[in-house]
Amino acid sequence: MFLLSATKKGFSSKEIQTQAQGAPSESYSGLIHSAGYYFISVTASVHTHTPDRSDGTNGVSHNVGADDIQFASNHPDLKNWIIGCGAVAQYNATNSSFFNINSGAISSNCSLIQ
Amino acid sequence: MKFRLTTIFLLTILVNNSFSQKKIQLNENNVKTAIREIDITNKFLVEEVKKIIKSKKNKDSVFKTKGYIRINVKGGGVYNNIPISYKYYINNDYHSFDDISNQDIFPDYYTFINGKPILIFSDVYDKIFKKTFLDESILSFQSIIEPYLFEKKEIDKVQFENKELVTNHRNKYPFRPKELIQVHGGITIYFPVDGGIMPIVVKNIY
Repeated sequence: MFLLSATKKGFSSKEIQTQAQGAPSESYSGLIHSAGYYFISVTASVHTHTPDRSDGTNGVSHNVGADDIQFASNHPDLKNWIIGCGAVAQYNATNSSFFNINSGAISSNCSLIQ
Repeated sequence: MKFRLTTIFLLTILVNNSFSQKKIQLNENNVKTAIREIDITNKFLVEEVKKIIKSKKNKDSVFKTKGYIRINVKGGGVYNNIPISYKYYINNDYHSFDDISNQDIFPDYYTFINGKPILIFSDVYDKIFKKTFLDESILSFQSIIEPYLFEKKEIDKVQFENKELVTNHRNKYPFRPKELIQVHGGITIYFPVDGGIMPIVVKNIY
């Protein structure tokens, strides 16, 4: 089980902040509340590969980077996804390549992430 | 890209208090080893680590007091048509080491350079066997690395489905509200098979 606290909306390209800013506006199954923190069980992580905007790739055609592998290794219960350019894909701690690669518009592919 | 995660793990930590005095413990399939403190003898690597520590401290005020350097040692291959013996992936990180049920998070070796912990993960052997560490070695390492991690917060009671539950401090993961996880950045050093060719330092894209 991996639990993430309630999130503050808005993030920069460098940092996603998830400091609690009060109760979440939506209800979440299994939510735990303690000492001003709201803990929400999460099943997946998502982050972007922005360099593909300039290197001509879809962001998931190279080998999985060491940081991404380490993150997956640190959180073995999570499904981990990358949003690239015109493609989304999964990675884990044991495969050197991305898998479950889905090409197409992000607007339609994002619904595949779960 | 850096994530600020406030996580809490309420799963049970089973701490084995019956520590063996033996240096090596055998279990069904593995040999348990210690997380060893070493000195890095590769001067080129030491100088590159010093550079990245200085660079990270200049760019990230948090890294001045928290965090460590992670080195992942990986197998060789070819880089720009140059045969490579091995490569070192180097970056800063902040992730904690509280989940002893997941031994993949622990380094094989550690040392200190310019006051920063340098954790070395030998990824070369991960495909060959499942590494496990001695319990007392894990506890010792956790004690050494703790000052460089974000502070723990004790949670006494939680509300779940309109019920108030009391947590058991001995059987939960610590909650580190300000913990950061570093994703992307750093450098990779490629060491050519031909010792006459200087190691190649490349800034990581992904």
